[in-house]
Amino acid sequence: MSEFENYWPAAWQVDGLIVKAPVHRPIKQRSVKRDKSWKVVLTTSVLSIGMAVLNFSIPTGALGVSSTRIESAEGHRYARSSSSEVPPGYWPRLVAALRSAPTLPDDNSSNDPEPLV
Amino acid sequence: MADESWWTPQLKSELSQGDVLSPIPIGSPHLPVTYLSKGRVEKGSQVWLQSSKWQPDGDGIGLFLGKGRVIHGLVVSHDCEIDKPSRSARVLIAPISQLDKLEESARQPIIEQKRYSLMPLPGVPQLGDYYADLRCLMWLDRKIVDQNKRIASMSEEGVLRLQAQLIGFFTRKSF
Repeated sequence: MSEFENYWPAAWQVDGLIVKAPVHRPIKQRSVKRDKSWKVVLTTSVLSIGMAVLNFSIPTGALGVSSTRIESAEGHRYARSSSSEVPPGYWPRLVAALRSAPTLPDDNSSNDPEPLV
Repeated sequence: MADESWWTPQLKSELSQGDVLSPIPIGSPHLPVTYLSKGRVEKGSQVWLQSSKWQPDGDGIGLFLGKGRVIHGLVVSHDCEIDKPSRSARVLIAPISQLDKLEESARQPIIEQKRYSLMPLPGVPQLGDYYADLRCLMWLDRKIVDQNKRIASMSEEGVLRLQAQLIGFFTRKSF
């Protein structure tokens, strides 16, 4: 598969072309393990609370630990809220509108002035 | 067409889509394409020499001869593209000129809004009735634009009309 295949017009994705880490995957793993052992549940809960605290309460610079997870979450939030980002489904909707809109006949340019420059 | 609906009573606070600029260099490479290289004459004066060879700098940027006009321009870039001036900011500009300079056969279809590529600009403050030539769209460095005076800003209705003209010009679609 060509690495540019995602950029073909026919392969536009609903959420755009940005490939980002699946930030919710760890939560899925926790929910699967919960049924096996109360110890796992307890450990996971503690970790979850810890991550939540890291995300929302403590400045990352003071921790001396990797802030990759936190940066990922912030980047995700930015992509959703920034007005400079193309919203999900924008290009397919626009293409569909263009495809369905009739093309106008060419206008008569015989009397047009010479280009200004 | 109500002239006053196309323009704001006062300039917008920041450079905006639909702003009219005082005369600014607008053009394209000279034909035949002519490359330039740095040279020096006596007493160390800097000159630009015609060169048959393309001699870019380390970034691939070089000099070539251009031709054009110093002419009023219309800002076509969307506000979101130009609201954060930076070293590399670019501004899309369309040259504009007086409708009165055109022959009747060319002027009338523009006034009647029958041309995709030529947009009427009625009652530009300080200038009068003009038209924009979208066939000659080009970009300018933001620094050059900022050195120029802004003459007028389009109203919200005017900007929507400009955006409609751009859609028609680039797509020829009926919505």
